[in-house]
Amino acid sequence: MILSENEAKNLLEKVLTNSKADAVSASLDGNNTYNIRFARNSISTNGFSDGLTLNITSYFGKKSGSASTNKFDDISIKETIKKSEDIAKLSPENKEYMPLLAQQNYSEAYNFSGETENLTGEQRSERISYILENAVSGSVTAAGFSEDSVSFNALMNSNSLFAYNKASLASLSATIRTADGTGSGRFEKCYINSGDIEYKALADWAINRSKLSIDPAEIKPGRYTVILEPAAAADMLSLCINSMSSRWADEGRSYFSKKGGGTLIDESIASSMLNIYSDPADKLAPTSTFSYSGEPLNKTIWFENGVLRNLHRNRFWAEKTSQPSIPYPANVIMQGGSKSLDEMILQTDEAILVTRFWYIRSVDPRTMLFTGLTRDGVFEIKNGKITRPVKNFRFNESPMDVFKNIIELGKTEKAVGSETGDYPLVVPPIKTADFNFSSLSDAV
Amino acid sequence: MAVPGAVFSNNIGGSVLRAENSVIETKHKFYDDDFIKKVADSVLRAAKSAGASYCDFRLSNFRSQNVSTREQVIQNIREGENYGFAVRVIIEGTWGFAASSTFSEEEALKITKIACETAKANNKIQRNKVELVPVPAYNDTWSTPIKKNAFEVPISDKVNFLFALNEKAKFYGADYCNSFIWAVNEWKYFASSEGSYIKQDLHRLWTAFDVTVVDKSTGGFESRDSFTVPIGKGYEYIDDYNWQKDLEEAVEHTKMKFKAKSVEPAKRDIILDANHLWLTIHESCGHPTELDRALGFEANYAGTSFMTPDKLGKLQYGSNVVNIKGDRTQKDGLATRGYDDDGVKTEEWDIIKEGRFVGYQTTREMAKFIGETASNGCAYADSWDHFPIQRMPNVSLQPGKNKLSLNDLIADTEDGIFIKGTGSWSIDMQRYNFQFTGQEFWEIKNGKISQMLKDVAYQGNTVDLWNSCDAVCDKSEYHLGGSFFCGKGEPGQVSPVSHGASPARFRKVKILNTSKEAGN
Repeated sequence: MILSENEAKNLLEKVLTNSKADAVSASLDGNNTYNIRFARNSISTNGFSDGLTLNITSYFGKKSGSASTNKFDDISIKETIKKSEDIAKLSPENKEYMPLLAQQNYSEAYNFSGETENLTGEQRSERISYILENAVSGSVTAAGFSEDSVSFNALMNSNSLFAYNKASLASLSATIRTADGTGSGRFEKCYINSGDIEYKALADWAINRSKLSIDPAEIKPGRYTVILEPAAAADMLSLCINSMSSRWADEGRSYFSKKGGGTLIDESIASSMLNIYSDPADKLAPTSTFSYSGEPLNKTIWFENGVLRNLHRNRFWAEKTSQPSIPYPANVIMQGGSKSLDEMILQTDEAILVTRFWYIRSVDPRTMLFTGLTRDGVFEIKNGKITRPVKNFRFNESPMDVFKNIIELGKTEKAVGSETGDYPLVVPPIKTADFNFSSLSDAV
Repeated sequence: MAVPGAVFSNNIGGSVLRAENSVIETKHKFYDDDFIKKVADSVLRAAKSAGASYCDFRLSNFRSQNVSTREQVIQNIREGENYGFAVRVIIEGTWGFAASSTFSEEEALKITKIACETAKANNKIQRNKVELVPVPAYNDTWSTPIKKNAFEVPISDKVNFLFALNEKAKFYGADYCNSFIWAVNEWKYFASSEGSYIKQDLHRLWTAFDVTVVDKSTGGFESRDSFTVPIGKGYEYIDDYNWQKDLEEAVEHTKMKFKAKSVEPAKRDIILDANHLWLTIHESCGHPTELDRALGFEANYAGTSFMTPDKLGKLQYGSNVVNIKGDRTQKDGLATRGYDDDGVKTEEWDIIKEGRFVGYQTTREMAKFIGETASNGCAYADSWDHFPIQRMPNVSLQPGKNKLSLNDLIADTEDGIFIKGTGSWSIDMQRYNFQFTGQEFWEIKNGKISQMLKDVAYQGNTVDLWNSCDAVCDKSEYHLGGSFFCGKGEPGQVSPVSHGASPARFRKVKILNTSKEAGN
């Protein structure tokens, strides 16, 4: 359910008015979401929901308690307020309590599109029809997922803070598998504006990729120069950002902790080609301009020419360590170069091209070592050309080693990794050396 | 068995927090049964009038309470309820689905209309018609047999308990300790055009801690998670668990990890403890025997399966000591319930029998693809606004038939590694190639535990691994493990699932050194 800014404000004011706590903060999250799923070249399931959730945190001194509901009659709202107050009264004082934020100034957000909001059933069907018809005519099998949503988030507290953001998101993905079961191609795109999904070109590309990956050759696992396509690069970027907690680094339990104490901030720990930042106004990946706790989101530099510049830090830890508060970012952008992926391949003597990864899990947080597999197309590149498909690999690798060993970066694009969901990431294809493929997988 | 209150009698800050009686509301305020049935019947009639050959109505309330701490700090105390209903129809062989959080007869009829319109719209691009296998009509209720409702235990008691746990961890020598208690109550009412009216009240609980020891001089740190498991029980799980032993060992063994010997990569025999093996079963047997995966319905996300229908009854998946059952009636299981979200009565069945692949997990929609005439009850939706999809039952390795304790098994092992607890896990999209780590690794030499090892991962192929299994301990060593969050489907859904096992031995498995894998 989507509430306008005024409707959200009125509802949240009602919550605050009925509060008996010393202080209170409340938020509303609502969405209208449509989805269609397909598999075996046919529609499988579909869904429509209009969710709305109210979250309330009540404070008595430094004690706090939270409760949530999706029932909006007066009795349910009052019960939820009381529940949060009762929990707060029974809780101990929070030693990490921070006073509520006062009203903040937020820059304008650009993460809503009327085109997505007005997407019709016919338009949804048209996209899926194109994929299914071309899969059938190409003698391959398509499975995929289409989802579009309009959502909003509103925050209010008893210290005068109010924030509201309305957003839209449209995503489409399809996996194309060949009839002999040895080839697979996949695309996934997610944009604020549904019209940005070039579904015909993407479907054609995935069908071609599935056929290009038929009957992969077995090559020996080991360390190789690889070109990570944006979907694969997005996972590496996301894994790194997730590990960048200032507190964990300060406490000595992070890759970014320094031997003998302190952190690696302002130290050169990656290739000088590595530049990573966040910016809610980024044109490819615009986001809300406030964090879940109501802090304004501004441009933040994480890595500058390979030097670690910032780690994310909540308000409590910022105050305790006399460092600036840096909210967890709403998007992450890795700067790239000028070459297209095709141009990068053309100028590569020998490398492995990785389309995307799968099932990535932490193995050792001390070295930021992760394991996972390649999926939906791995290819050998020799003398500027894709020469043959190769079997999938399991990798054991650290994103920081990927970033240390960068050889070249291509043109950036908005990408979706296998573990990143709809979190906005902008990445280039990454050519990097000594990527550790640990073993082969028979999976396709 | 230790009682937390006694073990941690010198708890910190407890007295001021303790309340005689919880003032937290603990009972759901549902509409009365007659009204729910009246709305359900209206929905079923409206769907039939709109041309639906099948319709179900599912009203659910998901209640959750989470208390999380680190050291003597509250991380989160939150209680939430999420309430709503869904209508699912089949019209001319196409599904239609819609959901709403506003429960009234008028809204239910509006949502039924949307579901029917969606089915008709999607029918135009439907290529394969949906068919359901038959199911009897049931008029029944079912509840998780809990002894102590976790929602009725005061939050202050939970905070006291966790703070005492964290303090004790520091006393033993941990630098950091996180801990939490998470209780879930899932209430649902199901009615279908098959004539069923089913009400269920499901409870589950997850509590755990993790300790970390830091050596700032070397920049090193080590951690260990508790060996607690999420489970289909009430608060009695917390009362009965031996916290003292687990916490003391967790800190002691974490400190030992700094000086543990780094493993040599090689092929070694491994003994997997039940608190580790559950996850290996989940990934390498639970997922590949989901029929929807094997058929390609999950190809775009979770993947497919090497255990395709042509291998049913033929594939020698494991050695003849490997017997694995699917069971949605298993005591204390997270996936245990009376009926699934298709309205199918739950049951137990063979998946692997004496090593042979003999059974899939199915729903009413999937069963017909392998010629089955009934579903074994694996439909589940994790929210009122999600479409029920095929989800994993409790899938468990059956204990060995001959008397064999863990000590007997270790004594019978000349050179191997004993692995406890779950660490990192990853498996490919068809469930061949896996890599797992654990919480603790112990070297076995000449039938005895000789020393702690570190940097251990084991890697291999599912069929090779299970065919290398030459011994499974008896039922005296049988324990459940499990997860609150088995992920699958688009939009993503999570489901709770348990896996039972007795420790088992696997011969000549590939062992990696994770430090060397990182290039050190």
